[in-house]
Amino acid sequence: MLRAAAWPLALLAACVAQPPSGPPPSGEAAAIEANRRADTYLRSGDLEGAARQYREAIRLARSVEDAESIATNAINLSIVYQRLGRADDARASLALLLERDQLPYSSERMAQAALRRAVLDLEERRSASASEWLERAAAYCGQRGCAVSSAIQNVRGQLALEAGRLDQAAASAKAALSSSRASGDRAESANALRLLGTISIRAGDAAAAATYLGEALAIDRELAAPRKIYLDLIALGRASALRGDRGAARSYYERARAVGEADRDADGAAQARALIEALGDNVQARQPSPGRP
Amino acid sequence: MQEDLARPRRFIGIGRKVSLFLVTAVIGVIGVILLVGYKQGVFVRHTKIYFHAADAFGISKGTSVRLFGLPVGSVSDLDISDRGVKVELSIISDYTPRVSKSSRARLLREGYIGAATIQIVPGGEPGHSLQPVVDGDEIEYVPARGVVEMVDDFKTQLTPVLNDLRKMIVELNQPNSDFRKSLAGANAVLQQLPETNREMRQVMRDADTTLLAVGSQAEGTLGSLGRVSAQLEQQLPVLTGKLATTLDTISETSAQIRDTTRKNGEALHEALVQVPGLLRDGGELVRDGQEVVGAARNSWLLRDNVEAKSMRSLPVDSFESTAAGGAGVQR
Repeated sequence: MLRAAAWPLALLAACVAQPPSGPPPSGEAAAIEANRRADTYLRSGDLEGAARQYREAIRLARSVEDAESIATNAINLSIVYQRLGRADDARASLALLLERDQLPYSSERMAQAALRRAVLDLEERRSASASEWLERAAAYCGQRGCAVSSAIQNVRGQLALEAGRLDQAAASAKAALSSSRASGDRAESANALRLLGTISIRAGDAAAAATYLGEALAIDRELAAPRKIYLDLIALGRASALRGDRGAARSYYERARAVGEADRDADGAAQARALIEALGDNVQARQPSPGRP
Repeated sequence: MQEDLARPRRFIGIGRKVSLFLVTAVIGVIGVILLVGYKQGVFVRHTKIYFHAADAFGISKGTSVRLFGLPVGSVSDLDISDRGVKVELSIISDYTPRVSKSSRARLLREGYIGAATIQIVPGGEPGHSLQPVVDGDEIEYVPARGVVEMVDDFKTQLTPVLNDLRKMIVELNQPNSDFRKSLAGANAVLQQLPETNREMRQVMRDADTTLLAVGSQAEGTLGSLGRVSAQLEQQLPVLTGKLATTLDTISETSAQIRDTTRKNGEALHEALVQVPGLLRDGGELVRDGQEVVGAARNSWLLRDNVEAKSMRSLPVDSFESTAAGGAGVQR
């Protein structure tokens, strides 16, 4: 009886035995280390140190042809370079993905890289180039959408606002708001609300602008994003100035100045001071560019 | 003869009994197989999804998959791929509406001895889809957070402090440093102190002589001051002697201070010479500590509770701009 049961038992044991596990990939370890060091530098505010570590991570990832690591670190490096004000270097880091296509990068990463390129061009007001890269990002993203769909819509809205097409800008911003809320992307929701507020100011609807911007400010405060809070406060100040409430406008500008100073944003604080001084002479302050006061 | 071959009574109907026994056995075996299959979920529809992990330590076929602590499936397959280990999960289809595409899997162990399970953390983070998973979808694997990362952070923060300390020590060691100059100046002052002491004693002796002369001259002319002069004449030598003793004591003390200072300076110099070596040893200790932590991290006791390192992506923001002076973190 026991002998008869031995064969099924042996067969069962062989079936449930754990297969030998393979060795862990070692080529990525050094690149991951550099990436994590860069992250530490970034969190401590050392942008130059972060850029140096991201460059090292890219070099290590390229040495083992790790496409995903190359793409991740190249996009991260472009963000750090942009924050450093080195737009050309930011474009050069994205060129690893966008202009040298030897390695098979995922469509998600390509969409992110193209979107980053569009954002860089938009900041320098190269609208034509930004539009071109934005459409490439949308193409990589596909019809089913991707993680950066909301961001693409927001950039599209900013480009339309730059061109003075308010209806188109509002449509893109609302599409971005809907998409970001569906996907739970609160940062892009706040961006869409800020864009809608700016469009409302441009259209002369101060009440609607204040509503949109108030919602954006609430989200950005929850996300603890100082730069976004600054932008929201400046836009709220402009909305207040638009409806003739100088006291409220001054209060918002003062808050924006305090946020800029606390965030070590000397330019932002100076711009807030200039807006406060201009309140006395000209209540109808300059119309803002989308998110870039 | 025919009676000899007659079948015994106890074998009457034996064929029917054997058939009945075999049929019962077969039905029993089939029943057991069906029962085991039912318990193993063979008759439940499953959806297969997968994730890629750097390694499969702690994961094996059959490892339970849990959602909100409830078992919803198991690991159905493990395979080595270009991105590490491809782990296939078989999820009961009834639960898939609660598992979004942005869900993440993480390896969890209940205590140090308990069995490892794979926990599915439902998505909901910004920038990710909330659509439920379908057959063949890939979800993200989140390795457990690690002690090594904390050590790295600590090391990153400690390195500038150590560098500053090393610079300070090097500066103290330089022959032209302010510290060395101060020590040399103090030494020179102390060396001049005995000479000053001798000069002061000479001054006191001169004063004594002068006072004696003045006292004798004033005896004849200043009668009213005679007693005072006499007292001064008696007391001044005593005072001078005491002062001389005091000055001798000061001289000895200053010599002792000089010796002590010189010895302390030599000891300090020796300590300063040893400090760079100690700092190097400290660095080696830190590296050794990292190796020990790394080894401990790979041990079966800790590896499932320590997050493996993975690449971190910065969020791609539509309002990204040239940063403020600070960290510039947008989210």
